[in-house]
Amino acid sequence: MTDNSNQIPNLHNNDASVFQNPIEFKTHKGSFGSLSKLMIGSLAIGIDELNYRLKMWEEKTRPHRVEDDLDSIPIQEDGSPKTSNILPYVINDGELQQNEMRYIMIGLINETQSRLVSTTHKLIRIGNRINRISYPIIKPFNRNWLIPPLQKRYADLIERGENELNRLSLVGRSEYEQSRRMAQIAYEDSFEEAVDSLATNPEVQNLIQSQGMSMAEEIIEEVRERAVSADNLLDRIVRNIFRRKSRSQIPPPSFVIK
Amino acid sequence: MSGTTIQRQNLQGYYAGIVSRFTAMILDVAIINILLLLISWFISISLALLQYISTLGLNIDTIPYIQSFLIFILNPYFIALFVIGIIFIYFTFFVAFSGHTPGKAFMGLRVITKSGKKISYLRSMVRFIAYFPTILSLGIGFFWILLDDQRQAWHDTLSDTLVIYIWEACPDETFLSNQIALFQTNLNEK
Repeated sequence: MTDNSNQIPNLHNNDASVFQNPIEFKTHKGSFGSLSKLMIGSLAIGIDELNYRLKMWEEKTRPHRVEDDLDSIPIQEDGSPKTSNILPYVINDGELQQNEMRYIMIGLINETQSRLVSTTHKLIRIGNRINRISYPIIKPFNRNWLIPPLQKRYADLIERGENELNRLSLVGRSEYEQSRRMAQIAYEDSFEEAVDSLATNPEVQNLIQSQGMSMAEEIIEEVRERAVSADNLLDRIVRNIFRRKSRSQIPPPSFVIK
Repeated sequence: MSGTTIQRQNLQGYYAGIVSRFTAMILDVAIINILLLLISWFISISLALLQYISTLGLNIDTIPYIQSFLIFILNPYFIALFVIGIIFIYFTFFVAFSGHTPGKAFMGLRVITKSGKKISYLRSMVRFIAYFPTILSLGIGFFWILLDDQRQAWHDTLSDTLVIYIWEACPDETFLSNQIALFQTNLNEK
């Protein structure tokens, strides 16, 4: 075993020494290998992100679950729910009946996952029970002289399969980490390149410059407009106080000045 | 179609008011201050460099007339004269050259003669000198803009010049009416 073996822990009980050098498995070269790694990495990062967001969204929407709403349905004196401000599962004549099938489907999808899990558990329990019951019946056949060679072959087959699974697991583990790193680097590099290209693109620069110019022009115009308004305002007030003719009664500047 | 439409009055070519002109003046003063700061920074850097050279062995006394030159430029009278000179050149040159100082250009104003022409360097100098009575009158000369029919300050009257808007000056009537209403409310409360 090389020192590299320390970097890739063997999670299974089987001896890792069956592999001469686990690192050999991850030395794919060429663009196809890189592309595969990139895809795997992107997928891994994408799934992580999706999981994170799904959890977040679920947390946010939890207070609005149907069960909570059901609990909060006010009950009338005769025991029937007050339906005036309740959500659509209390079916009204028109709109709610049309939506009923949709709600049933959504409820079914929501329930399917938990039912599948409980059904699987049930099947496993039943399988174990059958195994316990059938073991005393099958046990005498195990002592038959025909069985041990077959058992040995079966055990060899199992061992080979497990070794192969271990090898694949090791390869997968190293590939997974490398793919994630690769996707991360690709994402960061692409982002930086995009920002660089935006920063150096003359069209974008022109756009920013023109927007900056128009903004400066707007500011100047605003300052000037306010100043002119204040000019007129002060003029009116002061001329009023000193009882001078209002500006409108004074002849405008001559044409040569304008 | 019913309803009132507000016609915005275009004051391009009309006499400029006190606020626009005062804002332009503030901008010009700020620009002159920055200019003077840069000049003083340059002089202090040069003096520090001379001192540094002398510590390296070069005696600045060996430069002919250096001491008398330093005494001259660090004289308060010279500094005051220098500052006034800079202000004089700034106002005279810009007004005569383009019709407005940078501050006036920002505010969209121009200084012209009564015949509507650009003012000469001589008239520009007269206008600058006429600033002194305007300032020395504690600002009355400047506030004369509010009372004069042609919005002339004293230095304008003395130099026979006018200051006009050169942009499509449209007062914001909403802003004006709001301010007038506010002023009247305050007046009534008092």
